[in-house]
Amino acid sequence: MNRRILRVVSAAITLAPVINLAWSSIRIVGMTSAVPNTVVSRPLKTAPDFELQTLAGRVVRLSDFRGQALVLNFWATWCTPCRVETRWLSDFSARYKDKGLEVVGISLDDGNPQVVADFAREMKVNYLVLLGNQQVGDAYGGTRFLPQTFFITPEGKISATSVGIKTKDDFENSIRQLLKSEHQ
Amino acid sequence: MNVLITAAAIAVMELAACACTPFALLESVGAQQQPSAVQVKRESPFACDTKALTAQQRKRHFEELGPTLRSLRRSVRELADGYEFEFPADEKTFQLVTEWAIQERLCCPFFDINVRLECEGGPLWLRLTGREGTKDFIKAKGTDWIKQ
Repeated sequence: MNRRILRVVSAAITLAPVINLAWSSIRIVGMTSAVPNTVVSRPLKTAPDFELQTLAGRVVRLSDFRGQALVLNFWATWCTPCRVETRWLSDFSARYKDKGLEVVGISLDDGNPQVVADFAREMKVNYLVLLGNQQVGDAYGGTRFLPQTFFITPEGKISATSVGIKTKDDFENSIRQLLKSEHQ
Repeated sequence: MNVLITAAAIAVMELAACACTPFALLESVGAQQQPSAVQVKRESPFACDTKALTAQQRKRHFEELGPTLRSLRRSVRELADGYEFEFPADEKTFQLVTEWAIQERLCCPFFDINVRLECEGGPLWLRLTGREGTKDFIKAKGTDWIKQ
């Protein structure tokens, strides 16, 4: 009996450093690839529903977009990379609307909504802008970094997420993937 | 029996080390200390960290410091990996530039920020550089900053 226990303990001693090294390696790989790109979600998670107001005061829910491919972009007026994406999003909204794409921007500004309205007018935003809040940001993982985009299937599943700004081509590729998955 | 107890004790210590190692690594990365055993490369996304500045600091940074510094800027030098901005080297401007820099590095941690006072009473230079993509980020984000 004692010999059996001794064998088990010996095996644990032998394997412990291997497990330790393997676990550390996993963590290191995770950290070195910390530049978030577009991350494809597998398995697909359901996008948390929300209820937010438009700049005109109309209440909109995520579930209102069921049946449409959706690009959900978290941004703020003070976030300069978000400004760059805003121009891209207007372009994508115009070009892909007839292919079934809906673009929605959720502003996480913490000040006067008029600032968001002025910004949207100045930037000629042609897609729906909603006034976000901390709760919605938290529901989508905290949205610590802006811009942050969720690519949502017509079934309301998050097919991919993107944190930070990459290139317009990268963004457009993600949209194409989303629309492609819609037809699969 | 003694051998058994010793072996069990070693196993427990090693398993404890297994459990602690990742957290120790994370802690050293989070604190931006030099990891002792493993070199961990950290790269922030080209994005704004919403937790870096308070609403008041953001207002100061984007609505006061940024526009003021842009109005004080004398020239812009394009570099291979970023840009360099020339300012008058008076004390007030130096304070504004360093206040802006200390906030900018929190919000956009991927920047290398260099504030330099040139010799012989020369100008003050603010250099923003970084890894590949940083220059494009400045171009995209700061057209007001880089236009001559």
